[in-house]
Amino acid sequence: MEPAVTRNSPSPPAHLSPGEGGIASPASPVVREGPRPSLWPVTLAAGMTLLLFGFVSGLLFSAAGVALMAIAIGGWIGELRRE
Amino acid sequence: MAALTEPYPQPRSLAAPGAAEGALSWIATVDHKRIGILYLATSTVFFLIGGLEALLMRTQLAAPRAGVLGPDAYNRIFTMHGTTMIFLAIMPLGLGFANYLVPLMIGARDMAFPRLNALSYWLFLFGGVLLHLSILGGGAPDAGWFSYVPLSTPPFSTHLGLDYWVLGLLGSSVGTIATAINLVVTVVTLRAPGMTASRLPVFVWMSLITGVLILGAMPSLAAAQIMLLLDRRVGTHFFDVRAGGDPLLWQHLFWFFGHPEVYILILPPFGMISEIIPVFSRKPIFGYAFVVGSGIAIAFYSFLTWAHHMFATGLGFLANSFFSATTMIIAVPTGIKIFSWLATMWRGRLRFTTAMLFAISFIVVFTIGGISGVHFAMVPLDWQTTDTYYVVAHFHYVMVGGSLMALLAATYYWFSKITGRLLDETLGKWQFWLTQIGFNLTFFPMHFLGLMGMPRRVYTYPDLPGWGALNLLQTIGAYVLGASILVLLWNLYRSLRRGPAAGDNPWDAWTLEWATGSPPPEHNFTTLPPITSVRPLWDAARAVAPHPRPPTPASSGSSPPGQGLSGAEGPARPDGRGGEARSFDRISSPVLGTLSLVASEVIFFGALIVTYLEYRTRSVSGPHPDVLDVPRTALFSLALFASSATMAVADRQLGRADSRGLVAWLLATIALGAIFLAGQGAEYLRLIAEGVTIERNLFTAAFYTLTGFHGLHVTAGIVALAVLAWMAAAGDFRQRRRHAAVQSVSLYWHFVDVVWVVIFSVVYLWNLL
Repeated sequence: MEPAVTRNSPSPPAHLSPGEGGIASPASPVVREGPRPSLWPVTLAAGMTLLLFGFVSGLLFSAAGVALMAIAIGGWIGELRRE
Repeated sequence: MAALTEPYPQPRSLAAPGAAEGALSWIATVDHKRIGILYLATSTVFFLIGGLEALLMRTQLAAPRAGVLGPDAYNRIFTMHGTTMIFLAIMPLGLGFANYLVPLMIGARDMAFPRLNALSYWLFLFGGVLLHLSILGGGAPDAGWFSYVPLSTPPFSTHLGLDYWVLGLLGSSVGTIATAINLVVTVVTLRAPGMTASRLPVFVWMSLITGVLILGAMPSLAAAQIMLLLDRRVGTHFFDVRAGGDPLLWQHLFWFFGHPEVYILILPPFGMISEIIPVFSRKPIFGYAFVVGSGIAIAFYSFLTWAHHMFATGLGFLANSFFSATTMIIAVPTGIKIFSWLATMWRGRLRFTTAMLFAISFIVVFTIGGISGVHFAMVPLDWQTTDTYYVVAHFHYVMVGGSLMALLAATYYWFSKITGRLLDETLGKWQFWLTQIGFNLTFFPMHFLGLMGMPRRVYTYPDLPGWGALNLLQTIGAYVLGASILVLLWNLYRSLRRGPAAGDNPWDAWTLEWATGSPPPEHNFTTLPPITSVRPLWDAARAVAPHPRPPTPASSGSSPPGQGLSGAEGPARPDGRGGEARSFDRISSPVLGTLSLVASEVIFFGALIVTYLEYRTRSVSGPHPDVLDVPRTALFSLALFASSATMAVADRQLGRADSRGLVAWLLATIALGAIFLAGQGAEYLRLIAEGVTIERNLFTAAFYTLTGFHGLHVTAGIVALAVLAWMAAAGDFRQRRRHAAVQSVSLYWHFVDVVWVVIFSVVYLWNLL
């Protein structure tokens, strides 16, 4: 027989700390560390969009976009090297 | 049954517990959960914009010869409605859920490339903004979401709207392709121990297949859009009939993207439904392997059905027969899924939550849309109904009835995980019934209007018998549908502010996302449960409080634990990799990401090469391919071919930990690439001096576009090699974990070389025959 559907089911939450999750044992180790927040992705996206915008509004925007892209890629690579 | 109480702490915000808050933390985030939320919020805003545009159209069509909108305004609004809903609402809603859920469902910390993930989102947002800037920059596009040529080319379209359409979608498409690469690499390389192919949640499978579809489909659209932009901005003649151009080329390239796009929109909803229905039926999904396998079959056949959108163009008996057959065949795997969902519910302990109601309504309305879709496989019926409201009814039953119902089901199901709060079920059921009434009132009469001959894409219509009444009924339905969305917005707002705390697993579900907090902590999991089947939480619960074991995956149609699809499974290992993941141990995430990129580039260059082949000798006047200097090009091509050898040697130096050798061979590769570029530049200068410019005819347009884009790829490769050389000189590659960067660039460089082998053969050597 299968268990009834309940909102506060007795299954996983019954032996977990609220808000913590996971199942105590046996368990596998997990990776906790992730990359730090970064402004380079949004900068690179802004540069690429400016590059495209320049095709309809003037190549000065495209040039600014390329410059922004170069700065963003440089910053991005720098972050990767520091990790 | 336990009463709903609040044993859990009230979540304070959408941010993960302990994570930074504030606007900047969202702008700089690389956390897949936040990026998923950003996708969902942004695409909801675009959905509302698209919905308001739909209401404007329905207001105009409420009565014959109404004057709310003129023809130009109507054209612009229906173009923006279609474009917004497809590219900026439905597709990113699916990708938003995938972003949030896939790493959680496979027990991963994040996506494979978190920064790339952030870049994808911002490109999507900025692309959408750029598209909407057209309203300020000369007028919104007005040629439909498909932008058929010649309507979208000068002299039929002279304002900037179509340029914004191309540029906005190009930007967001790059982001979408990056998301697809991320999804594929994440699922293949980051699965938790024991998460074998046969234990992946169906939603993860569908997200993976969607990723593959995006890689295969989007580049075709990008290639077509670049040609359209060149026609509009540079004066080329790709689609100019007077110069020999072929308008059907646009349709082929567009629908090679457009038909898989239908499945890009619908496969994530298939996955959502496949998670929700079993949980609220208290049964494993019926025929897991068939549900997954039919998804793969759909992906395969979706690339063989594009021309059924073009029966009316007169493709000929053979092509019509082929695409008619493939269109009928693709209905089979879709039907398998529907029967699987029905069989899952059969004799299940159904619980009619709002999520389940939307899931059931998905099956009903999607089936109606699917059946009317099969009608279009019959060529004479297609001829009769194409470009009528019958088509509009069909694709809204698939797109709105299918995708939207599933997305609403997913919203009610996973809102609790994302926010830590439950949506109000009473409001949810109000919304459900308003949606069903509004949706069917709006779109079902369109079948009749279409069969009565009412054409689509018209801003008004004559007062023919029945047309006015049916149109008025549809407009009333559209406003009811709009009201249902208002109920949803109120429910979202109210529940976010003071909804009851959900707890970690409010639905007693069994996939891994429910094994962590709601909302999950920044690192997703503190520990992971052992994964021995498709329902790890159910197994864990049985282990704690023994119940009779639920049916094994084998009895539900899937492989038993330990016997995955690849047959290469084993126990979880101490290094944190699943047994099945062994087959991918030798492929690092960056290398697999590069392989995925290369796959999409193959389609892009394939589209450009096919165009060149079609246009090589089709120009109505010269110049012709005999103006090309084959011996000279062969010389500088040798430099590029030799660069593959130097790159291979550089790769070998990396293995020997010889930094100096690595730098030297990378510099040699750069030098050979630069010689090739210089040779190409010299050839361009000679040709231009002789008057062979890109806008002269079809041959020159196809030649410069194909070789120019290859040159851009070589340039990008040289920049990447220069960065590697600099890093190697700085000693960065003493760390083995960074070797994947060199291997990835190496792979890309070899690909660029192989592409030139094909281009050189097709463009140059062919002239010698």
